[in-house]
This record gives sequence, C-alpha cells and structure tokens, in this order.
Amino acid sequence: MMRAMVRNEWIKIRRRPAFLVAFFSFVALMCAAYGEPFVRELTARAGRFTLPRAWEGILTDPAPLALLFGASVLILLVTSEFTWRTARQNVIDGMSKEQWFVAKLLLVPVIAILFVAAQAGVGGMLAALATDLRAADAPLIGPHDVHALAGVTLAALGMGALAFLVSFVVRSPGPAIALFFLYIVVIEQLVLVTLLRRWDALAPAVRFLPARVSFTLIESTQYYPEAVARAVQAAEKAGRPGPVFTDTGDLMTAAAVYALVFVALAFLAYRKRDL
Amino acid sequence: MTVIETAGLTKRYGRHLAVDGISFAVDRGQVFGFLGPNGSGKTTTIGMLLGIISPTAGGIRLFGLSGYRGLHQARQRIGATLEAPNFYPYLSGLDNLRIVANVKGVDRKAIDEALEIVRLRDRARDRYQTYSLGMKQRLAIAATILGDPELIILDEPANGLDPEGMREIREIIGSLADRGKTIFLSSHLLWEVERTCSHVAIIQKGRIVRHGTVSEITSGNTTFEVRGGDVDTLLAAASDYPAAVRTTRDGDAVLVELADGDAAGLNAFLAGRGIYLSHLAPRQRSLEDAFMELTREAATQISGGAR
Repeated sequence: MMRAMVRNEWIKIRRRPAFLVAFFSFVALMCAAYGEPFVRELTARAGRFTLPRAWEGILTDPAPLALLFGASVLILLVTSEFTWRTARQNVIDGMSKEQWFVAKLLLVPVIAILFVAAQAGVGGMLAALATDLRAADAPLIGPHDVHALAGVTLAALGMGALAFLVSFVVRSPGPAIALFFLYIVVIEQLVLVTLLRRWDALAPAVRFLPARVSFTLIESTQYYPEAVARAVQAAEKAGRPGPVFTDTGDLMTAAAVYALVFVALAFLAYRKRDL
Repeated sequence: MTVIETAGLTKRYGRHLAVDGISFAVDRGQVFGFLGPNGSGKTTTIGMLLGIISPTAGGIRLFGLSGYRGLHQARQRIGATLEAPNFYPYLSGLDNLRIVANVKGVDRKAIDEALEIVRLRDRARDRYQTYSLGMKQRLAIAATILGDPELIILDEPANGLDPEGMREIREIIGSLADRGKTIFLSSHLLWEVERTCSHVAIIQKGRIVRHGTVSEITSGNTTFEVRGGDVDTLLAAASDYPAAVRTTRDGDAVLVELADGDAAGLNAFLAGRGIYLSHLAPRQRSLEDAFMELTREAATQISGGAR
C-alpha cells in the first residue's frame, strides 16, 4: 500500500495547477532574489556572491519565503482532499483511515525539502556559476553551511507540521491559510509574546513558541560566527545591550518535538471526525 | 450468503438522531434498493457501512466479517460511491481511475475494461472538470467496478441526470446485476428502483419502515379505477361500500381500494345506489404508491409517538 500511496501522491502533485504555480513562482522569486548579486558578482568580481561565502545569504535570507510558501502549498494539498471529498473516496476505495493520514503525512517532509532544495539549489547554482571553481582553495560547502541547511530544513518541517495540523482542524483551504497566518502573525507574535513577557518567569518561553522557533532557526546567527560578530558589533555601535542567542541544538530539538506534537494532534483531530 | 447485515445501527449527531437502530440484511446476488426521502438517513447508513462515518451504536457485518480489522478486510471487496461523484477535478478521468486502481491494486487492463463498460473511453484523457454530470456519474461507476468487487454500493447514481443519462445508468446497473454482482442502490427515484431492484428497504426519519422483495412491497389491497356520472356522488357512494378500504378522487375518476378485490361486488353495490359505471379497471400499485403510503403511515406513527 505504501508504494500505491506514493504513486498516488505523485500523480496528484505533478498535475496540480495550484502547486505548480506556487512552486514555479517561488523558483522565479529565488531567481530574482539571487539574480541581482549574481549579476553584480559577474561585473564587479568582488567575491561576495561566490562559494562557499555566499551560502550564508543563500540559506538564510530567503528562508522565510520557503517556509511560508511550503506551508501554504501543504495546506492547499491537504485541505482540498476534504473539500473535494476525495479523502472519503480514497477510504471508500480501500485505504484505511490511518493509511490515508500517512499518505498526507508524506507530503510534510516532501514539501519542506522541495522548497528548501529549490531555495538552496537556485542560489547555489548561480553562486557556482559566479565562482572560479578552478581557483577555489576552500571546499565549496563547509560544516557551518551543512549545519544551516539542516536547521533550515528542520524549521520548514516544523512550520509544515503546524500547517498540517491547521489543515486537519479546518479542512477548507481559505480559512486554513487565514488561520495559519493569523496564528503566526497575530496570535503568536502579538498576543502570546505580549502576555508571556509580562511575567519574568515566563519570558524565556517566548523564544520557544512554535513559529518563533522556526523563524529563529533560519537566522544566520545560529550557524555562522561571522554573523554573530556582525550582530554584536551592530548592537555595540547602536548602544544596545548585546544580543542573546538561543542554543541552536535546543531550537532544533524544540522544532522536532513541535513537529511530532502537531502531527499527533492532527491525527487525533482526524480520528475524531467523520470523513 | 449474507453480504450486508446490520443490527440496531444508530447514528446520532448531537440531539439529532440521523439513523435510529436499523436492522436489515442483503444477500448475495440481490439488487437491493434503499429508498427514502431526502434527509431520511440513507447516506449516513451507507457511510457507516463504508467506514467513513462512525456508528453511535449497533453492529455491522460485511461478508460475515465484523470488528475493525474484519470490516476493513471486507471493504476491500466493495466498490462504492457516496453522494456526488468524488474525484480530483484537475485530473483526467484516466488519472482519477489510476488513483483508484493503485489503491485497489489493479492494473491498466482493468481500467480499460471499466471505461469500456461505462462507455467513457473516448473522453478518458479529458479533465474530469470538463465532464457532464452524466459522464461524472459514469466515471464514478467505473471507479466502483474497478477490481471486480463482489458488492457494489451506489448512492443516488441517477441524481440530476436527464432521461437519457438515467437510461444509461440503468443499463449499466442491469449489466452488472446480470454478471452476478450484489448491488446496493440508494435512491429517491422510485420508478428507477422499481425497474432495477429485486429487493427494497424503505427508510423514513432514520427508521426502516418496510423491507422485502419489490413484489411484496407493491402487493396489497387491489385498487380499482371507476368512472360513472357525477364524481362526488360516485366518491360518496363508493366510500359507503363495506369492502372499500380507501377511496380517493383522481381527476374525473375515483380510486377504490378493496379489501376483498371483488370488483363485481363493487359494481353491483354502486348499481344498487343507481350509479352505473362507464369504466371499471384494476390499477397496478406501483412502488411509488407503496412508498407514499408507507412513509405517510410511518410519519403519522412517529409524530404520534412523539406526542
């Protein structure tokens, strides 16, 4: 059944206009984002958009877009199964409810990896084209870059799992996307952060709110010592206290735990309701 | 062999009792009509049979199997569609059937055969969203018969179709029945069911009010259509006839339902009242007549019971 589930998800995704438009729009955005430094590098040869130096910007700067595009696409792919009633039909056709859930769950890592890969792939390819590969004396990708890639992918997985939960609770594309962004922008960033900061004991918890964890995991300061030095320098220059950084390992653990909890909650919501 | 068996099957949504302890059985090879007005609980009952709606109480046995695993196993032997055809609108009919075929573990040959049976081969590569309602219903039937299921469950397959579409669906169902399939057909199109089914169950407000063969349901007191002179006088006189169970006006005629079926006795009685009939003919009781009668009686009993 696993093979059938994968084949079916592939048929559904590759022909879905909404998915294709979203994905290729994202690729176009990435081309536009990296196109300007690429052209500048070709003309000025300043060595700013060459590998491995360019990875920091490639992996972290457009990552919020990858997270949000991926989550929105995931919501579209999951909720439409309820609005078209194909979820119930798939079960009528012979899948168990659990198998259907697993089939949709497969989309979470696939979509997360796809968008992060598109982001890294487009940026990395353009940076490679701008790099004199014969003259390069350092490896084209370093341990910090691998660490950052893992962190960004985990952040995308965490955000995808949140979108997955919202999809199973709301079951309708428009309201689900609205609720997802309402949670990230209003509920978490304004309401929860404001409330938690009122109590000193709870203030540290702000750093571990679900969306905050994902968005912190895509910051370059989590992986690159140069980025940390720049942030400290900027704070000193502005006369602000030095920035506090959360341990990247703790954030990765939190993202993984959130992903598991959201998937479990989605399953409970799914099991409880009829199709 | 009993293919479907329910015992006290119940579904409650909050305070609303959608299905109220229904029990029925469908044997192998039957074409079973499940009749009821809109909102009577037909689709909820089928949803419970198919495992997409959880019963509040009661039991289901399919092919003699019960329990979560047993029913899941039994459902592999069922092809079904519930309410409107449910497909991916942006995919072709063929791709939609590929998805079903992958789930059922059948090959491309089976898809071609199913498309042939429902006469959709020429349009198989067109997007589902470009199909007419009749084509969508036929594609739904193609999906249900993929994998050669032993039991086919169709929920309102002729809904919204024009007479030509209905005829096509009827022919397809007929050909499936000829191949020995057990068919469970839900509909509120009574004359369609009467033409297609061997057995029926009538559901009203979540309760089964009658079930049996079509002939058992439609048999009962014989009704005669009579004409002769003034209709009101005729109606009044016929109502006085001792064996008349029910008399109703039907245009310029009067319908008299007789307990003893003795038309000569009725004729003599009316002649004795000075009414000489110009027309006296038995009228075949249709499934629609039986349905209307049974659901009316059931509604009266249910509302009486509620009071």
